[in-house]
Amino acid sequence: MKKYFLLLTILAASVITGSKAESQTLADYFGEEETISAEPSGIFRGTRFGSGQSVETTPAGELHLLIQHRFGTVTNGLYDLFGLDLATMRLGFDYGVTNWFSASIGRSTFLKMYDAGVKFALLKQSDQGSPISISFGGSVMVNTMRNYFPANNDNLLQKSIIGGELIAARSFGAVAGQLSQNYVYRRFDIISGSSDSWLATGLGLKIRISKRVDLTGDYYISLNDNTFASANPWSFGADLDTGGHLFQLYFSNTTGLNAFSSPYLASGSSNGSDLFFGFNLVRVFYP
Amino acid sequence: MSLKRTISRKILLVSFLGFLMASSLFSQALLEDRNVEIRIFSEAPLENIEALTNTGRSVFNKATGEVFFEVSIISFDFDKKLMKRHFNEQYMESDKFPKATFTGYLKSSPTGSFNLFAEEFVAEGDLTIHGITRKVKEKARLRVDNNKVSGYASFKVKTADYGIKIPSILTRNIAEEIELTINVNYKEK
Repeated sequence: MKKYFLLLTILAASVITGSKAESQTLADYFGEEETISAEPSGIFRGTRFGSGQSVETTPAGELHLLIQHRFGTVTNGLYDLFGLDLATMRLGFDYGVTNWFSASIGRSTFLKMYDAGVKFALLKQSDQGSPISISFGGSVMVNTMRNYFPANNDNLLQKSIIGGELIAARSFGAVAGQLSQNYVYRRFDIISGSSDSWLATGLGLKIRISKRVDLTGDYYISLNDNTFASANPWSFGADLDTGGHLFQLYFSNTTGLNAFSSPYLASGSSNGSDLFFGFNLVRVFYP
Repeated sequence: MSLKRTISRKILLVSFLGFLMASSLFSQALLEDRNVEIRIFSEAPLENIEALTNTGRSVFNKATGEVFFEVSIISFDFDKKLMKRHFNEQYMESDKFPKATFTGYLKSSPTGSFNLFAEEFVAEGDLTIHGITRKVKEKARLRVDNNKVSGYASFKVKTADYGIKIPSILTRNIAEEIELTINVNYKEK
């Protein structure tokens, strides 16, 4: 009798122990197996950064309307409202053909310049994938000012400018850095009467200071002797992401809004650089 | 062989069997689904917003009614990619709070007991969204079909209850109460 009672107790104890061993809370059931990997989310909030391009292309199916302004020099003071009276503007559209290829068109008031470009994303930074993002962009710009070119050189080819950039960027959490190699070639310069070009390395830095605001800054180092840039172009400012619009605000030493005019209008004078305020407004549509 | 040895061996055998029995009984009661469909829906004057995922995970103990759900916030897909980005970066902060979970019990009667074959239940437990946990009680339904159990629940949550801030200019675009709909199909492991 005692023997069986003992056996029963042991059996009961084992059953309880057995069930306890399996009864980890259900919350631990799946363990830490991570099944969802994040798709690349983009390093920068938009396709433009500072005075130039960011490494991002437009996501597939998105149409971006870009309204870009740069105002006159703030150093002239109140008379022309710190440069607000003198503005150059670019109106443009970017469209994401695929997640890796986007196209853009636009028109700048400076030199009444039309531009068209493409941008290819070659690599995108992601957690399990590439450590950096790389893109390649190219654009063509045409100066359509009347009575600007001598009669002999007033054809489309002579009035064209081409620009290209190879951009690489990496995000380190709240901070991101961008490195770019830029090249602009102008077929006919009315001053020298021949072609000229600009080769430069661009450096960009972005610091995210809140869910919706990034601080930005860029600097381009001219690498060749050229008639384009009287000073290395730079800018600093902030990107503000509201619900449906991206505002990019800058102070810069250049008023340029496309690959050509950015270095071309960079200025610096011996008693301090001119400072220009500008902003980009980007609105996303899903046509 | 001595009597003592025989008895100790018997005890060992019985304990082992008992242990095995209990373990297998327990695991047989667990059903899982690794493709839970979850839909979130916001209805507001200016627009309706919908997002879907089918990679939610759930485990359910059909003997006790204990249930667990988890879903990865970045798995929700939107029609507009920018919306998904804002959802993750500005509202859900999914880099800080990558998952939403529910841990609790299905109860089929006011006394709190559980009967797998009742059709209407109340899911009672802890719902954690955006890092904030609240006790909830929501209606749920189960349907049993051989050894497959399917479940359905639809209820609303207030964004403010979980610390999700909607800027005042967007109150006509994003509703204060979001509707969650869950469809789960459990199978044995």
